[in-house]
Formats: sequence, structure tokens, C-alpha cells
Amino acid sequence: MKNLKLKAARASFDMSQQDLADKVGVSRQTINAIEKGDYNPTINLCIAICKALNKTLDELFWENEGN
Amino acid sequence: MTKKARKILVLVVALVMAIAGVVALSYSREHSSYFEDEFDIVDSKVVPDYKALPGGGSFTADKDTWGYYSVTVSPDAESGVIIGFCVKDGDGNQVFCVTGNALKADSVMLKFKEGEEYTEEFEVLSSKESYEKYAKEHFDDGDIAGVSESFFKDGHYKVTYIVEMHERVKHAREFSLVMGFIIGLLLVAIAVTVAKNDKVTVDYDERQIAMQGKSYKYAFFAMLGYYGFWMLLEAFSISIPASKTLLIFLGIAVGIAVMLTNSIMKDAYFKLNENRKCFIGFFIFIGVFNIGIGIVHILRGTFIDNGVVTASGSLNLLCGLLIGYLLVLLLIKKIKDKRDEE
Repeated sequence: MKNLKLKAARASFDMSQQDLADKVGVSRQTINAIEKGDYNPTINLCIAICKALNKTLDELFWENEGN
Repeated sequence: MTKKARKILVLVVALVMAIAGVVALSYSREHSSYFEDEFDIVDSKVVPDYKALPGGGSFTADKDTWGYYSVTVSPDAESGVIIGFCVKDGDGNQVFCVTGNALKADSVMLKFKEGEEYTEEFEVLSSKESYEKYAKEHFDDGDIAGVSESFFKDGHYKVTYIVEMHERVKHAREFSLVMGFIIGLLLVAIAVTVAKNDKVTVDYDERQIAMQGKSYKYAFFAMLGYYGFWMLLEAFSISIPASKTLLIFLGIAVGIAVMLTNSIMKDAYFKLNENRKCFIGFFIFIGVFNIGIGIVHILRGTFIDNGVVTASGSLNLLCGLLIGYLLVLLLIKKIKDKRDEE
């Protein structure tokens, strides 16, 4: 399932996938795979992404009912 | 001198020592002879009538030494005459013996005793009877491949003979194989050290590690499939015209190819911030080097021996092709990434 919340949060900071990847220490392809729903990140990487985007885990990775 | 420079220096010294080791192991004194002969076969008899061909020579070892015989008889000859070649020691004991039409054979490693004279004898086997007699005299229980009557044709023959005795360190071939592997590892270690940048973190991220795990899994199943298929062929007595060593290595190559395909296409081959250009340059160098050696083997005719693809003549080409495949995958991935970014 695509992670549109992450994509939107990244876009709100005007960051490219590469910028976010550099900030959290992973490859651009890893960020791309997370956004496309091809890869489920570990909790450590989720936390790193949340810190980089100043969001909470719920805001980026929790699926609301009906979504 | 920086730590990195010291490390490179140590690796280069080790590489030079390893190459010197291979050169020392392949040290050889060669006793070789080349001659031609013409004769007729009339009513399955050699004319002029003689047993051993005049060109047979001898070799006296000046010290205890190890070596192997390499004999080539008219490599391009058509069927029509079978030649027997035998090396005997001073007591007349057989050391190495082989027969065939258009012979091309190497002996196993032989020990030559100091002061002993080894005599080399050729014999034309002009009829099936003389061939079977030769087999009984020279091979255990006359155990020799059967031949059809078509090999024993009357006619005029011009035959060339090349006999070479290569002196080698005992187990030189095995040592050379191991040293070749060590040299390969040292080259990789040098490339990794040169490419490494101490100022940035170079490592795989968690997705890459997970993808590599999958790649190794696929490679494992591909190898299982390959060896299972090979086992089936053996069970049905279907032989592949390639040496066993080559077929074993081919299984490893299949595994590596599958691992490379998945790793590269999933972007899990290179570490983050790795100096890719340096590695690609290194791969091109190693690939061209191996393909070059492979082409030399093909041109020299050592790629195939008696209709069988040899390991020594084909492993370099296989390595070169594998590296070529890796480079093609990297190129495809680069084009795909560029398209995705656009």
C-alpha cells in the first residue's frame, strides 16, 4: 500500500527523496520503496524519518480506519 | 604516510609476492622435439617396415624432478591412422602411454629420477589387430576405447610429432589455482581500499541488507536447480562435453549471476556512498583481462581438447563473461533509474 502521508510530508518540506535519504542515512531507492509501499521499514528507520520530517509515527505510519 | 596508503602498500607487496610465487611455481625447463614423418600403409602394414618411428627421442633427468609429458600428433589429421606413444624408463618400465588419431594429450605429474634415461617411442598402429595388441601390451587389461575399421585405411600419410616434457614443481597446477584465487582476492582488497572514503559512512542500509538476503536465497535455489539438473543428466547417462571442474564452476557462476541480477536491480549491490566509478573501472579491467586470456585459449586451441571444453581453457572466459554480465546489469539499472527520475 502506498504511503502517501510520507510523500506529502516530504513535499511539505520541499525535500526530494534524495534529500530525505541523505538525512536518515539510507539510499534514495529505499525512500522510494517505502513511499510506493514496496518495503516495510523497521521501527528504527520509521523513527528516523519521523524525526527528519518533524512528525510522529502515528502521523506518518499509522493507518486510519477507512483509509 | 596515511593509514590507507600503508594498507594499499601492504596489499600491493602481497600481490607482487603472490605473482612472484606463481611465476616461481610455473618455472619450467622444457625438453621438446618436433619432427615429421612420411609413410604408406599398404594392406594394413606400414611401408617402410619399422616398429618405432625414428623420431622418438630420450630425456635424461639431471636431478630428481617432477614434470609432465605433452604430446601432439598431427592435430589436424583426418582419421586413417592411429599412433601409439609411450615413454619408458631405463629398465623398460612404462611411465606414460597414450594412443589415438590426431593425438593431443598431457600426462599426469610424473617423477623423473636423477640419471635415469627416459625413452620416447612412437608406433604406427595400422590395423585393428595391431591396435588391440598395443592396448594389451601397454594398458591395464587392454582397457582402451574401441575404434572402428574406418580408422585403418591404406594410403600415404604425412604425420607431424611434437613431444614436450615440462618440468614443474610438484602440485604446481593446484598451487597456481589457489594462488590465482588469492591474487583475485588481493585485487579486490586493493580496489576496495582505494575506493574507500574515510570521510563518509559507507554501508548498506536496512532495505539493501534485506534485499541481499533475498538475492542469496534466490542464488541458493538457482544453484540447487543447476546441480539437480546436472544430477538428472548424469542419472540418464547424458554427458556434457565439458570438464567436471568447469561444470562445478558453472554452478557457482549461475548462483553469482542470480545474486547479481537481484542485488543490482533492487539497488542493493553497492553500499551507500560507495565509489562506484572506481569499482566499475576495476570490473572493466578484470573483465577485459579475463576475456583476453579466454580468447588466447580459443586461438591456441586449448579451449577444447578432444571435443571436451577444458577447465583451464575456459574458466577465464567464463569469469570475463560473468563480469560482462554484471556491467550490462549496472548499465540497465542506470538507464532504468534515469527513466524513473524523469
